[in-house]
Amino acid sequence: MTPILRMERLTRRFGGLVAVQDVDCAVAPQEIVAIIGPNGAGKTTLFNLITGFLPPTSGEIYYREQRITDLPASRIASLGVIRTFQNLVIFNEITVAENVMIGCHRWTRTGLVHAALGLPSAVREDRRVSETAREALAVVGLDKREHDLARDLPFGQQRLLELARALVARPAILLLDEPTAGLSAGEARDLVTLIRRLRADGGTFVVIEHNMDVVMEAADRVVVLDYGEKIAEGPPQAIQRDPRVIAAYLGDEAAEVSVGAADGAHRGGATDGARPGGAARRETQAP
Amino acid sequence: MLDLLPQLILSGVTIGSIYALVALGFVLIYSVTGILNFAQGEFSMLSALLCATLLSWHLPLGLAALCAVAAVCAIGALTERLAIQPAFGGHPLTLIIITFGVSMAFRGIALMLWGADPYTIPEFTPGPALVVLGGVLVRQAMWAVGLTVAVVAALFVFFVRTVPGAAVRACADNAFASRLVGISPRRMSLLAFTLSAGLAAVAGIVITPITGATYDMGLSLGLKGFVAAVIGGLTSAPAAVVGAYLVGIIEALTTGYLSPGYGTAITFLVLLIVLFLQREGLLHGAQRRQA
Amino acid sequence: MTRERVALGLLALVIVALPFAVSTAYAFNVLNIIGLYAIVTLGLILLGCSGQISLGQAAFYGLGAYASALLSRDLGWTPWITIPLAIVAVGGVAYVVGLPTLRLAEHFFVLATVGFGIIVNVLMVQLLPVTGGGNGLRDIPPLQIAGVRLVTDRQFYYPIWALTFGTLILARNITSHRTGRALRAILSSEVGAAALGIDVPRYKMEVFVLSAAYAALAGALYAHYIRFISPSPFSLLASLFFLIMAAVGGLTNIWGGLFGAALVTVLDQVIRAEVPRVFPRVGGEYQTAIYGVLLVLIMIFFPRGIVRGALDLRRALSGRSPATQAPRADAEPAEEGRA
Repeated sequence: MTPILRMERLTRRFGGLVAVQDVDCAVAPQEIVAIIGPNGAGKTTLFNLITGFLPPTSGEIYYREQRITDLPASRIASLGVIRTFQNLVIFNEITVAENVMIGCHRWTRTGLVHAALGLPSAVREDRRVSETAREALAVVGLDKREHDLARDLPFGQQRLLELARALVARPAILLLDEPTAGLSAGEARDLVTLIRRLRADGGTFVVIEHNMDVVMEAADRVVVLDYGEKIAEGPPQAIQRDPRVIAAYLGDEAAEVSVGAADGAHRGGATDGARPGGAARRETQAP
Repeated sequence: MLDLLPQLILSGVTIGSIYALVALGFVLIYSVTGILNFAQGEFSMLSALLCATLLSWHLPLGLAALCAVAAVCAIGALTERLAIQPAFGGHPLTLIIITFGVSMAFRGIALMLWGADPYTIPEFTPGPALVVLGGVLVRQAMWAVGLTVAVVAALFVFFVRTVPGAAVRACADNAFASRLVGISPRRMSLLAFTLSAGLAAVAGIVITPITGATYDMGLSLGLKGFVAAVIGGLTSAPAAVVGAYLVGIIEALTTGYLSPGYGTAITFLVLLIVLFLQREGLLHGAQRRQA
Repeated sequence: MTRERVALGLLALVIVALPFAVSTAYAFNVLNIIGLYAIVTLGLILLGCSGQISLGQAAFYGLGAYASALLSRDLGWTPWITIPLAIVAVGGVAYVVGLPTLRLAEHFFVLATVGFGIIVNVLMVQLLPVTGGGNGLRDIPPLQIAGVRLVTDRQFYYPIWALTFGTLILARNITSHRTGRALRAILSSEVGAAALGIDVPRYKMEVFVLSAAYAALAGALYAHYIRFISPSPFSLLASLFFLIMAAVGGLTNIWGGLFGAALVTVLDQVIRAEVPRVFPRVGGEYQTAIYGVLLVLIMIFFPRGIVRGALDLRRALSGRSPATQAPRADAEPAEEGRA
């Protein structure tokens, strides 16, 4: 089966800093892939590369085997690659309902001329879009607040709003950047349930996550980035025990100590090259 | 034709010094507050006209100049408090429009107080003009260049060697972090406006003996100083100074070889070219706004 | 939506009925000018809906005027052709100008429009053989409808206001439906809009060209109405004037464009009549002081326009929770680093 999304040796440099290095990855239809890694590992940069917000220094990206590497962000989105943002990008100045309605943009058609003339087709489309928005809001539980301004919602609900908006875009693949950040445990669980259900309905997800419970529960496959490189990939349970991953998060001493994870071949040799131990080496976030 | 060249370049350098002072004011305010202050040129106009009035009340030149600069500094501070602060943190375009409004207000008030007639200030050191490198240099022009150099040097010392100067630089670099160490962006904003007004005030007084002062001199001065600041990317003071001399010389050459009317247009053409060469990517600029 | 239909109907009624209540040429002149300025302001507001502000609108206004005037006077073509031609030509100029400038960050875009406006204004003065320079262009042929030459203020009233009404409806339509939503998305967050498939550069360009076309239409009409044009009504000051009209009505409020144009024009007439009495010594642009202060006050206290601001104020004073209290743009704390 052709992968929905495929990256080949994707690399991004900022002057001397390599934010993403030679990342290969493929996402199959109806997969839920989690991308994890310490702060500054390049996860959001990877999303920016895939979705066209940042041009790669080298490498290729394919959507359904169609090359999308140099396309502008809006073009990639209109193809069906939809993302959310780590820092939450909602349209503050307008209502909740209208936020979601904008999500329908890519599969609606009224252009400047049709709108200017106020043609019936435009009005009909508005009704359809409005209905779709209302349904999506009901799914995430925000239907009571559809007339409120987006800026007036509490943070957790704004996150749901962003999700609802992404969902009405009928994405072929949905890239979620830390969707559970700032959510309570209960809210995070609800989100996982929702994602699982959407996957069963045919959705494909790539999720950047820090919440390991969510990753363990929801992901089919986990990709681990560290310093821009993919250091591990596999099912959640295997990743959890992988010493390289532990070393990346906690330092080499922790890797050596975690005896349960080690089989002899990995012990002591988990590190590659000189790496100072300890979490203190994590510095500023990569852009 | 070519014998005009040295003269034009000298004129360009002279007026470039004035633009440099105005441009530095722009850079200062923008670095510290992110605001483009379109009223910058009006500060020059106000100080020139105030100085002329004080002189007509028989104050000695030095005192009149000092008082005028001080008064304009106060006006700058007042402007910051009354017009900028209330809209602080709002959309950057709101603030730009406000500074346009302020500049219009100053212009209109100046018209009402001083009328449309030109005013003059005597040269600082009267005497015959000098012949330099094939061109004529009036003594006042040397004051213009000399004062600009002195002011730039003083600013350098202030920013690099003093604590308040370091505070301003910190605020320009990262307002958030500055607050964490106890620097108040609001106070820095006030300081920036006051200082910029002072810079523009000096410029206005120094140039008046050469070109005269009218109620509408501020617009042109401000816009050209702004072009110079943009050449410096709005954040680099040295580049703004270089840009100012560039603008001055281009303007002088255009006025000399084409016609005075085109001078302004060419300056703006330069502005447009510089703007296009400096554009940022969508995410880069947008991410900053999201943050 | 039906409330708006009622408003439109009322407006149409008022427009049709007004000439029966008004008799002097002066009054018609003021009404016609309001109509023209409303069209220009509508263009500005359309642009504002995508988050851009232009201080070069008067330049497009002037280009429309000069284009139609020159084509009809020097080539002998009827205004019925030269007016649409002028609109298309100015639209083309806007496209060319927009290509490099729309990519710029907001405040740089404003500056580019200032620069453009000044360059155009200078060219109007300097290109003497073509434009008549500072003395302007005379003998512009009048518009003719069914053989009748429109030369009086009264005769121009219905044509102008028919177009004002039409452009208002057009603007309302554009800011509704999918296009309006896309514009509001762009206004709120260009990044967010792009992430949903909205072709941001294209929308910004479409709106920019349209706003220039609006101004050009008004300018071309102006040329055949007054039949004399000079560079001075097309200066930076005029652009500021239009901006004030837009600000008074609320920079993204279509109906506000009409309201702002009317209010500021009437205010201007009052000022021109009264100020010389109080300050007899003053001539020239004294009103700039007033407008300057006005602009500052509006942007500080009523950033969403006077009517909205007054409503918000009343809501706030009566203690009710402000439904849509927020100022036009998000008040992001200054501490998050300067752009």
